Amino acid sequence: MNTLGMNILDMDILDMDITNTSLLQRIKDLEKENRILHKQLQRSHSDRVQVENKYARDGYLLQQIIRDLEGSKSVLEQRGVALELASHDIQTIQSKLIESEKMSALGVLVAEVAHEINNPVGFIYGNIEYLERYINKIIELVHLYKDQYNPPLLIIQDKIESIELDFLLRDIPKVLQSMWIGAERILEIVKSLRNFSRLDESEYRAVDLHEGLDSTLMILHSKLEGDPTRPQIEVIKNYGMLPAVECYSGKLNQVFMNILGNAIDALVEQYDLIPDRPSRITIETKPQGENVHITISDSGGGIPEAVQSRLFDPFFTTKPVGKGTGLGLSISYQIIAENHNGKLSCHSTIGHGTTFTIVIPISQADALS
Amino acid sequence: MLKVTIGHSNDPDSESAISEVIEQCLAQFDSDTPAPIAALLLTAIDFDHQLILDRIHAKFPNIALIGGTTDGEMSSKLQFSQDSLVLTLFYSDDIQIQAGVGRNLSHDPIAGAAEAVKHGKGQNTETPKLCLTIAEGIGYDSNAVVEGLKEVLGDRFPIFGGATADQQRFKTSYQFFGREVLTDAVTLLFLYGDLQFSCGIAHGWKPVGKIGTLTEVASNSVVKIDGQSATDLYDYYLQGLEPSPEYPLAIFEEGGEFYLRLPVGSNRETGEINFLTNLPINTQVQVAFATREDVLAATQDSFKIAFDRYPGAHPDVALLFSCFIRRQLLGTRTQEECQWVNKFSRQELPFVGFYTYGEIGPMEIGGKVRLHQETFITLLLGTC
Ligand SMILES: Nc1ncnc2c1ncn2[C@@H]1O[C@H](COP(=O)(O)OP(=O)(O)OP(=O)(O)O)[C@@H](O)[C@H]1O
Ligand SMILES: [Mg+2]
Repeated sequence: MNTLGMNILDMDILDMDITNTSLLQRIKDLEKENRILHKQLQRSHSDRVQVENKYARDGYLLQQIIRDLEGSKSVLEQRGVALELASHDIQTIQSKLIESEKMSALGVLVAEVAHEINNPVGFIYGNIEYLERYINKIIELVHLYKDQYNPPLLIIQDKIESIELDFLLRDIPKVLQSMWIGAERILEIVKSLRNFSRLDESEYRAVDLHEGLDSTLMILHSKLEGDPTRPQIEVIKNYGMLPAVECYSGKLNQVFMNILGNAIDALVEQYDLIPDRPSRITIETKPQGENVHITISDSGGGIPEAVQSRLFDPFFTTKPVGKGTGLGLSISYQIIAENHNGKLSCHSTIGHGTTFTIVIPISQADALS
Repeated sequence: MLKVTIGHSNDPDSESAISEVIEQCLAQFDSDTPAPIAALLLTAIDFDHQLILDRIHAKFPNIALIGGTTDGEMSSKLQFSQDSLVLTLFYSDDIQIQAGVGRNLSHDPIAGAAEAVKHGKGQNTETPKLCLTIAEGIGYDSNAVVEGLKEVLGDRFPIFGGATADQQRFKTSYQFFGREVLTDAVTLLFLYGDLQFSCGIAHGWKPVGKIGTLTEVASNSVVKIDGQSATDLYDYYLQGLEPSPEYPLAIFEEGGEFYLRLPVGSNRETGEINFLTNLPINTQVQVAFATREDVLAATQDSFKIAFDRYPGAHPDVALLFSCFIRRQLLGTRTQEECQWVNKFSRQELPFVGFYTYGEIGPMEIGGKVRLHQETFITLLLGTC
């Protein structure tokens, strides 16, 4: 409202005008307020319905979630029981591990004993030759006496008969021969035992893997041999020209032992089921580029697919309690993959047999770089 | 320089409301302000929209105007208000703004989006900095229009905006373009020039209970979850009450991230649940739940992220897009959402925003844009 330049006389009318316009404005404002209030009233009803619905839903939702939580509480309790059982299992496994630790301690002992036996057996083996030579000379002498003092004195004649000299002379070479064979065998076994459980394992050494394979076969000798209930297991060796391979040979022998042991188990089991199939283990070795390949195949019953996927899992075994711990292949896998940067894989067909393939680098330094 | 003036009236009478709003805008004019170049009009559903547009046209004949109907409006003028009308005018001498529209979204949302982009760019060969969009929120897969915009503008082009609403009647909502009142359309503003902006987005919902997999979907509805009627999952928690938007489905993506989709009804005979967008089959879902505190905490997060990330000195305006269900859930505390603006901005900052049927934006500038639900998006705009 601009009042400047107005005449004093107009003031009354102006006053009235002011009241009028402000009244009009006031009415306008009230009308507006009324419209807004009206709208808000409409709103508040629908809003209230929404709020009430929301409360009902929230109530149900929370109830159900509480029920679910109670459910999961009892599931948790069940899990607790399952965990207790599992912890019991772990204890059993632990005691088995201690057992296998003892076995490896035994391995060390065997290696030491083998070392100790090595010398005395050496004496025996080395002296048989002299013994044979000396005895042959003595025999020659006896024959000479026989020729020169013919007929012999009666007392000597009696002695010749009582000691069965003719038999002795015929048997002595045979006795010597079997002493030879026995001593040789002891030497071989001792060598294998020493070779198998090497004591010096702190670093890689370049070795002839065939020696390791042969030692392992030697130790498994009795298991490969037949008995009245089953035939011998035939071992075919297709050894290629391998260079010396850098490895922890004792550990690798352990791998050979596990795989060959499994193969023997599979063949024995197979024989019980289908006796007329040949029991055969084939070992093949060959160099390939930077690596060597060692495959060990058996003509056993094969491994079902479901088992194949778990083969390398620790504690996975299909063998009866007490026979298998299920650690053989998992340890072997670790030895090949982690200690030797190699690969251990299995290929198997049901009814035809199983092949394990070991691939390891010839030189570890090259493999790491 | 970017300047806005805002008029906001809660007078239910269209004629009085628009005059009041224009008056407010003009009162903020000073002599050295250039003429406004663009306008954003947000209104409740129960107005005479044609009359309002005619009045604006009479006052600002050549202004690039977009807008639409909402489920609640907010501004620095009147804070939060339902059944109101808010007009924002943009002034600048160095920012250019151009508007575009695409129609017949329910027929082909991708083509509609492409049409709007083409229209909006016109003869301008420059690349816009930002796109503000207001799109239809009902009656088709509103997700598709966003995908359509991305197809032309690029996956990571900054697009912000919201889907129009109709106060939860889910019948018809309107979009405004120039002098036209439209439905089934997408409108947009392209902003060109030396613009600074940042965004923040958050929701506050947490997945609870059973995890299911969407095993059958059909356009905007979910038919089967885990091979069972979709309603079974909700019935399990809501004892047969209608699935409602406060309990959205969390849709899990690879990597364990999830976004939300809100149910707007169900068909008891077929066991289907209806949504405002299509849902992807074979994804894992879980019912999600939020308290008012969760929702308000998320609003603060949204502001905090946006203000922390603002690249310039201070923004000139904040645009806010909030899901309609946040308003419903917050009830009398809805005010609190927009009141946080001034706590985070260290100076008086004009803001305007609305409650939508779908919020559009990326998780961060340069991120992938998506149509969100249940979220609060803060967009800060400025020139320095
Ligand atoms: N050559 C094979 N033929 C058939 N099955 C085999 C063969 N080798 C391994 N398996 C299967 O793999 C399982 C795991 O072998 P692994 O050597 O790890 O454990 P194990 O022999 O059962 O027990 P452990 O070797 O610890 O005494 C065996 O139980 C067996 O079922
Ligand atoms: Mg074994």
